[in-house]
Amino acid sequence: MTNRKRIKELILPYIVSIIAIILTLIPIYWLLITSLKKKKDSFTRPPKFIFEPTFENFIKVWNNDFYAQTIFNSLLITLIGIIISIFIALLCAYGLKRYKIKFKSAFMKWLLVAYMLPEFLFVLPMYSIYQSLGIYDTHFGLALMYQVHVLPFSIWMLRSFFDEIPSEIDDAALIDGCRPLTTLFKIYVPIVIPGIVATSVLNAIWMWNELAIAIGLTFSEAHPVTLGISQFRGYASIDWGGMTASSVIALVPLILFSLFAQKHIVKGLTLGSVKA
Amino acid sequence: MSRHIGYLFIAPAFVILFFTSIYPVAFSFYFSFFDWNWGNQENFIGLDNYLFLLTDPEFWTVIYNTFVFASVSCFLEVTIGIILAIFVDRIVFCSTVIRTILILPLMVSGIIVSMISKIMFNNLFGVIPYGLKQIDIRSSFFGSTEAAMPTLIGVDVWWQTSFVFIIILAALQGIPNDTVEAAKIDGASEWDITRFIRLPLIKPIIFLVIIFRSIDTLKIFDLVWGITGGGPGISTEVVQTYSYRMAFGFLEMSKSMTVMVIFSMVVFTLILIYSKFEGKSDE
Amino acid sequence: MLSKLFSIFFSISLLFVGSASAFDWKAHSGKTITFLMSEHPVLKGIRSVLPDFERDTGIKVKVNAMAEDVYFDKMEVALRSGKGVADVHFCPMDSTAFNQYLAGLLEPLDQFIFDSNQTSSSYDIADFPDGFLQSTRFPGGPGSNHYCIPASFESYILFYNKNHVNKYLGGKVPETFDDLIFAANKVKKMSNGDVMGMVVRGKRTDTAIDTITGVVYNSWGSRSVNYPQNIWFEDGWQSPQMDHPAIQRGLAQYAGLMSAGPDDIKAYDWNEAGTAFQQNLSAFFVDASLFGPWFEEADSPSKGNVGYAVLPPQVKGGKSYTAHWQWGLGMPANAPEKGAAWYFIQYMTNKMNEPKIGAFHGGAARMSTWSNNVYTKTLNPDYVSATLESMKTTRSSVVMKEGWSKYALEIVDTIHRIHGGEAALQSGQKANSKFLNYNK
Repeated sequence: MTNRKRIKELILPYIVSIIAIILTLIPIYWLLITSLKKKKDSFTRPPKFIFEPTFENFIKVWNNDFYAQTIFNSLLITLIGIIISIFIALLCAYGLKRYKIKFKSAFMKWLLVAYMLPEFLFVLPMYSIYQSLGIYDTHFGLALMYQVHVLPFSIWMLRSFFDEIPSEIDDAALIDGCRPLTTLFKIYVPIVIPGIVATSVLNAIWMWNELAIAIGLTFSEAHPVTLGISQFRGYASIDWGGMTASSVIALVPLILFSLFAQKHIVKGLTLGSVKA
Repeated sequence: MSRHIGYLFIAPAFVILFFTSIYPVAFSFYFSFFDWNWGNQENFIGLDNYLFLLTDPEFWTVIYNTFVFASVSCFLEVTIGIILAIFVDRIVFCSTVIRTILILPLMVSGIIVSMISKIMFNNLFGVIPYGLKQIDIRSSFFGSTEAAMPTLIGVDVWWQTSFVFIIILAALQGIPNDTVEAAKIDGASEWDITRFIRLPLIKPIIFLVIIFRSIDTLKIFDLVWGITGGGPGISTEVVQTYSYRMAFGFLEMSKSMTVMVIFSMVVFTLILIYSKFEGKSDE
Repeated sequence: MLSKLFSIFFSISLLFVGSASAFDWKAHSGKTITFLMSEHPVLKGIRSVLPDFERDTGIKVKVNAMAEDVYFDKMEVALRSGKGVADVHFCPMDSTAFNQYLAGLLEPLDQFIFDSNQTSSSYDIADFPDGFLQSTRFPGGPGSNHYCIPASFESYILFYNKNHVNKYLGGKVPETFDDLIFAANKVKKMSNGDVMGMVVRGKRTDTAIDTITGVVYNSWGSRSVNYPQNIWFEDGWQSPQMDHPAIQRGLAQYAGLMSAGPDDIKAYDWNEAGTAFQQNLSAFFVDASLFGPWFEEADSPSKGNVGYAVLPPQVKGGKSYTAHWQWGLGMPANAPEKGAAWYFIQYMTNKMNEPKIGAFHGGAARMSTWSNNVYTKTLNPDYVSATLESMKTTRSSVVMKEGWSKYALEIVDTIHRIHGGEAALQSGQKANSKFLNYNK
């Protein structure tokens, strides 16, 4: 390979990434600067790129008790939701891969049906069940309902990632006679960490931003952050500063989680586990 | 012994999904045969709802809109997502930061994406028409029947490509290094490696991404409801906004559920066809 | 009828002072109630009075509030809940409440209002104009019961940007409706599209129906408005008259307003339109009077620059007409604490507190409030006079029909068709056949 080609190959990814980053960040940037603008600068013609920034919106949102409570609620709900989904999906995907299950195909398709259903259709039937079971308006109840969407996705994801595992490892594990749970957690899981991370991040994002089921199945105790942000949309008035600032703040936990989760994927980590 | 252990592994998932999905599905299916108005009216009308919808041109327009939106968005998102993932996979410097930035769009909630899009595309005070005016391109974007759907698709592509990106990237990162190294020593170029080693290896993941993205785009609600409300006219009305409006707007609960039953059957059939075509399904 | 009442109240001075006499406000002391509400200026007012309420009655209140669209969904689900979750809710007094009444979800309130043990003698329900109370009574006619108490109303008026009117129209506010459309287009042209002539709701949503009704009423003029069919049906549900000349004109005029706006007007809901006007990007804005307080907020770019007027009449010097819409405080039929809930509703709508709450939203429902200084002193005087003026000839936009939203959406579609170039007559006839279809 010529040097020129090698340099091109090295630089091209960065060029593509930079273009992608710029396109990605334009709306985010606009979200951010709207939250830093005073009311008079928010919507001018032509749009203002240079203005006097203010933190008043952030301060107002930060001091808003209801909003703070919804952030806490969402953290708890999402955490419970991820733990449940990943743990159960791991068990399920492993079982599907390693053992003969009679209705495997039908089960996988049922997962898609559950995933396919629109959220607002769940609210009505589940409302009374939730009230009678006492899990209405609870963090656990909401995290449980969210499984109807994140669990099928997690199971499919983890199964596909498990499928990628080279068969030598599979056979080696079987021969070794490891107990099933050990094989799962000591051998399989480390290999599919990137898959687990991607699934967790996507699940977290989905649950964090969910609204329809939250409206139906919470009342006051377990309001997630999507409802916290919605309080800045008034009647015959919108608090653009409050809305954008609260959305920006709501992004932070997700960003932190994503950074944290991805630190655990380093390219080539998988090398180590291909040892028999 | 080992036969039964397998069932134990899938039992928790089975139980949870049974609890959360069977009853709602049965509930909707049951009520699709009534004329329930979420109040005291609850008469059995058999297949009337189905007949009404299947012979209503508006219903078919909505289905058409939904498929147009889904196919174009899904295609663009999968393609761009995979290409992006292939490139970012090769980055070593600041890769965590770059990756996180690229999934930022997905982290913004649907309602906020809608509000920001409306602002940014607004002809009076939006930054996008302002920029495009400098190069002499004008459009009414969400205010015109022709431009609304493409603009919506554009917004969804911005928003959801990250979904494809993060999954494909994770799959690529799981490819053992020695295979790649060996090929490089043999003199293969990056493009060759990608074409002949990487992509085939992650085929099941690509299949998964296509299925889930398809379902997600067919299910689209937040963006359409928040930005155009199905308008102008019904140029952007999709199945879920149509059904939601019936349920919460007109209180035609039963009809709304019928829409979802019909649509779910259509989507499910397509998935079945696609699985057979792929030959992979879930073996 | 309404105009007579209002001309009377102008000559009545402030009468009511002080609190109730021997009425026991503490009868439900110790209880807790939940108030389900949308983020609304009324809520701001109620929040300011809440500490007084809790002190005077010993009842604790949990406020559960959210954006309006979220609230609507929540309200519908909560009202149908097996186990009641709310004791008082914010009631949209139109077909929504009517449908809820039909489904048995609302608690009738006469049992409280006319019980001297539960309602203070100074409450005086007749202080609410009968036109307002009419929308709270179901099924309508003799033997009806009240199902909510009016909390606020909004009438549809014209807002104008003083600077732009001075700059482009020589300071002259249009005197007829067609003039308004002409003037708006003029502003748009003269400013090269930098300033819009008009902003209104142009998005395809049935929630625009009330604003639209205001404009159409202005064309309907002095003809009578009969309920429950309102003007859209001639005589009974089977005779829609969307092609009636007056209605045609009204719908066409609304479409004309849209045309004087930005070319993506069909993407404008009230928040885009309101925001554009608040940011001084439009000369005119037609919508609910309740926008006034938002435009006059301390840091609002439009503060001090907004003019208020009734909708210009059809002919110069003629009478202007408009519609109004109301919010009320209602009690879910499944409310756990009905007695305490009634105390809350009563307190927040009585003569002492309505002015305090009204200062936040500018749409007080009681006649006595409009001559109460506590209320009027905080509001922009032009706003007060324009709204009062509109109150003289306003009629309710309500249509008490099950599933009315569907018809309302078709009315919006009719306007959009006219805006797209279709003749009003044809468009109206299409709407008629759609209505008959829906009737089946």
